[in-house]
Parts: sequence; structure tokens; C-alpha cells
Amino acid sequence: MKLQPLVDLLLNNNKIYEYISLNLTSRDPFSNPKIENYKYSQLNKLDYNKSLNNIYECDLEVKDNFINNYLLNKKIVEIDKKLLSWNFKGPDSALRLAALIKNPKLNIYDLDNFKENVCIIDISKYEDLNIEFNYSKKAKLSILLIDSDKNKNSNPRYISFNLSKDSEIEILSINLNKSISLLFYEFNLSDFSKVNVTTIQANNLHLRNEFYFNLQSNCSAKISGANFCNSGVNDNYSFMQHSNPNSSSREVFKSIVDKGAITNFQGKIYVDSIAQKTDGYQMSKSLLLDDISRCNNKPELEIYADDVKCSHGSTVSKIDNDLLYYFNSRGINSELAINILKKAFIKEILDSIETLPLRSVSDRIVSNFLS
Amino acid sequence: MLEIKDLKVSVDQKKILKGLSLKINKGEVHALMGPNGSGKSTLSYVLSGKDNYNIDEGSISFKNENLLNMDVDERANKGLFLAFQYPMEIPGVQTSFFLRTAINAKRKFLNLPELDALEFAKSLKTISEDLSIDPEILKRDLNLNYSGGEKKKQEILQLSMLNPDLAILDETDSGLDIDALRVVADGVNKFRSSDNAFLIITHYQRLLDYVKPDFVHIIADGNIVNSGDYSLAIELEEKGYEKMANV
Repeated sequence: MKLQPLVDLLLNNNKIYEYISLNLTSRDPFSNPKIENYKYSQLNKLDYNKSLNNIYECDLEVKDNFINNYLLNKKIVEIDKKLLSWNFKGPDSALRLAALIKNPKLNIYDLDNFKENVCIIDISKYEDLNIEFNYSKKAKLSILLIDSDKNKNSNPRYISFNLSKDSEIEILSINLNKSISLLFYEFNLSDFSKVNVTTIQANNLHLRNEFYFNLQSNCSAKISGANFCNSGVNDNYSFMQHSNPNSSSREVFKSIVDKGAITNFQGKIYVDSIAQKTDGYQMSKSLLLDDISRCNNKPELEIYADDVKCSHGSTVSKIDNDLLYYFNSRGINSELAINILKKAFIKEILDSIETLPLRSVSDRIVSNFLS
Repeated sequence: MLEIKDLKVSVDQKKILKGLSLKINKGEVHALMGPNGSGKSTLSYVLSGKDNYNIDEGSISFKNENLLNMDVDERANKGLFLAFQYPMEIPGVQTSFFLRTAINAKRKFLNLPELDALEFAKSLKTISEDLSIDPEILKRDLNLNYSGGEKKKQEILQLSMLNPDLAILDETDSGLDIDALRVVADGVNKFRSSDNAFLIITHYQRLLDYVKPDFVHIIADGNIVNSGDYSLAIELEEKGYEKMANV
């Protein structure tokens, strides 16, 4: 089931509903892997079969708990039809749809105007929820992407980066202390371009990040995620689409889950039939600190080319008692040892940051969070 | 310094130590030799405080305090050190960082200020040079992808830096080539003094050729069955455990 029927419907009408609140009375408003259609599916797939004709009555039936809880209150707003003609080739995304419905505008900014090679983008300073950044310089641009809005509930946002040929950006994205944080990231990489994204998420109650990458030939994408989750449900999804030959991708997501929280990770490496010589790698690791926390990791490969190298893996572990004993036997108490082991667990993510100022920001945030 | 009296220990209801007694004074080096499964490593784990070892009977006093009432980290900070037979690999934790954290944990326990970074670096350089440890290895993750010899040298480096009162070497000689064995033994000899004591657990005489013990004990079936001086180790090498354990 694709979004297209809904998009067609919206294009034929001038108005859609805006849905403005989330219901968090439910313990688990996010996806539930048990109700998904497992193979080749997104956890967030929508089902419009029954209700296309009744959308104005908000009779949209969805399998996804997230969007189900999102579509509660409604009001009528105008929609920019151009918005619906985004040339989006990625998977259906309830979050992207939510961002689109919430604020049906897309504003485009040019990153070429930045004079420095390291910059801060505070998305809360942009009035529009849906933002597209274009970058075409050959010099590498490093970006610290933050949301300084003190409001704990963030609106769903769509953030897109379009890289021209030979350009390169590095992004450190920080999500901290939000009750609700909903972000859909899209990265469109032209030939020979390069992106390195690191995302650090800590102390959020309900977080959902979706990362969509579209890779043309000879480009490379790297994403590393560190997620500290001690309440609620934190979701991370990635869709790495290799559209043309000779591109490479590296994904590593690590979650430290505590106090009965839940993390979900679903990531797919998708290789188009013409994307020969693709080199893709994906790894998701979770560290559970107690017996009541949960994680659901779902790595996926969908490959239509026959000359590619793709691998994926997933692990779930707890703190190793023998390691703890080793620390204790050197006089280091368990509390300090666990903190050191947590830092060690996500070190690989921090090490992926190449730009020094971004590295020092991430080190400070992680140290504060773990101290 | 250490007094073990009539120690009976079981694991999963299986009796391992069956009334073992041993006394180690300051300045003494004791060697504990025995065949596989005799309870050597169990004794070292019980002394360091590892979980899942049930103390059925007996007592252990360390520096006139009840060792069995102390947590693992407390025992270490009070001066007990176990050099592991199989040191743990810790990905993501740099060797020098681990050492400094351990030293500062002990200093905090003793109400001393944290060790100055420069002082730590100097001391680490000197001791690691003595042990022929490549400085580059100290920047790597602790024990990760180290060779067997490097891991054992690392344990002796920790021993020397942490300056314990009682060091237990649990089969430190296993997996060492002759050169590494000599380096490790030199490290032990350099550290050995009238203020500290050693319990060296080993299968073979060869480490004792380099680190001469004051006492040698033979353990069999959970108990010390024979004690003597260094000559006992030589005799043991000639006759084997089966004969000597039945003496």
C-alpha cells in the first residue's frame, strides 16, 4: 500500500485536516512489531483500504499505533499542492505524512551562503516545520543541528538535505529532554557527494527519528546513532536507498535502555537493480540495563542487483557480570564501572564524528548525561 | 597479613575447597601448586570476592579484618590484588584510562587526592618500560586483541601501579613464552618487598625458578596436602602430582 492514493485524493481537494495533538495516555503509542506484516514492510505502514472515501471524517484506519494516536484532533487548513508533488521515492512514512499535514509548507534554504565551515542550525528558529537545505560547494560543511525550543513537545518536522555533485557535509544532530520529538530526515546525495550524520538522543520520552537516504553513483553515506533511553518509547528508522552504482553506506545505531523504556530500530538497505558494486553495512546494538526494559531491532536487506556487498547485524546484551567483577577487582565500584561501560559502548558512535568542534560538543553532552 | 582457617567452599552444591587453611605474613612469597580441578583458582576467586562461591564454613582475615564481609572493590582498595588467569577484554576503554581510574578509586578510598596526570604518566612510563610494554599498547582498548603475553604483562603492570599489600597471581605463567615469562618474573621481583606478600598459583616450577618462593604448598582435592620450601617444587616437578599429593 502506497501513499499515492492519499496524495491523489489530496490533490483533488483544496483542503485537508490538520491533526494537532498526540494522545499519550496510551503506554505505547509507537509501533508494535507484533502487528506488522514482517517481510519487506515498514513498521509504520499505513492501510488506506477501507477508508479512502471517508478521510474527511477522520476514518483513516491505520495499523501504526503512532499515527493512530496522532490523528485525534482535527481542523481544516489549506494545503499547498506543490508540497504534495515532492519527488519522494522513499518508503511510506507516517511521520513524513504527519509533518506534511501539520504544516503543509516547505521552505528551501541555501547552505552555500555560510562563510564558516562549521555552523549551527537551530531548527526551532525556523518558523516552518518543513525545511529543505541545499548544498553545492566542494568544501566540507559541518553542521550542529539542534532544537533549542524549551517546549518539550516538538511538532513533527521534515528536514531535507540535498547535496550536489562532489559536495560533502557532516552533521551532528542532538535531541535532548523532549517529551515528544518527531523528525523525518531526508538526504539526497548526488554523484560523488558524501554525508556523515551522527545523532545523539538522550532523555526523551517519546522520540521518533526517521532517516531516509537516496544515494546516486559513487557517493557515500554514513549514519551513527547513540540513543540513551530511560523512559517512554524511542524509535529510530532508517532507509538507505542505493539508486545507482558504486555507492557505499555505513549505519551503526546503539541504544542504552534503562528503567523499563523501549527502543525500536528498523533499518533497511535497499539496492536498486542498477546499483551494482554497492557496499552497504548496517549494525544495531542495544544494551539493556535492567530486566524490564525492551528493545526491538529489525535489520533488513532488499537487494535487486547481483554484484553488491551488503551486510547487517544486530545484538542485544546486558552489562557483563564478569566485566563488572574485573572492574571491581581493581577497586572500581559498580556504579562507576557501569558508567564507564556505557561510555565504552557508545564510543564507536562518538568516534565517527570527524570535525573537532562537533566532537567536543558530543563528548560534553554524553559526559553530562552519564555523570 | 592473610589468614585462612578451615575454609569450605562450594559452587552449585559441589564442594570445591574442603577445609583449607593457610597463613601468609608480610614479606613472604607463597606458591600454591596443584593439578587441574584441585581448587586453586576457586581459592583466588574466593579471596577476591567473586559471586557464586558459597562459603560453607571457615574464615578469612586480611590485615586483621574479616575479608568475607567486604565487597570486591573494597578488598581491592584495602590492598588485595588478583592477577587473572584470563584477563578480561574491555572494548572502548583505553588501557591507560582504566589504570588511572583504578588508581584514583583506591586513592579516593584512602582519602587521598587524585593522582596528578603528569605524575601518573611518569609512573606509567617507567613501569611499562621495565615490563617491555610498547607505549602504543597503552592507548589501545584494554586487553583487546592483545597477545597472551601482552595480557599477562598488563596484569603485572596493573599490579605494580596499584601497589597492593597482597598479590595473588593466578597461573600468570600460563601462555607465556620464555622471554615474556622472564619479563613478568622480573616485574614481580622488582615489586616484591618486605611490606607486601604474594600468593603464586601455578602448575609448573618454571615461574618459581625466577620468583623464588619462601613456601610451597601442594593442593589436592580442595585441601593443602603438603607444604615445604622451594625444594618441594623441584621434587614435585620430578615426581608429579599423583605421588606428591598422596604424601
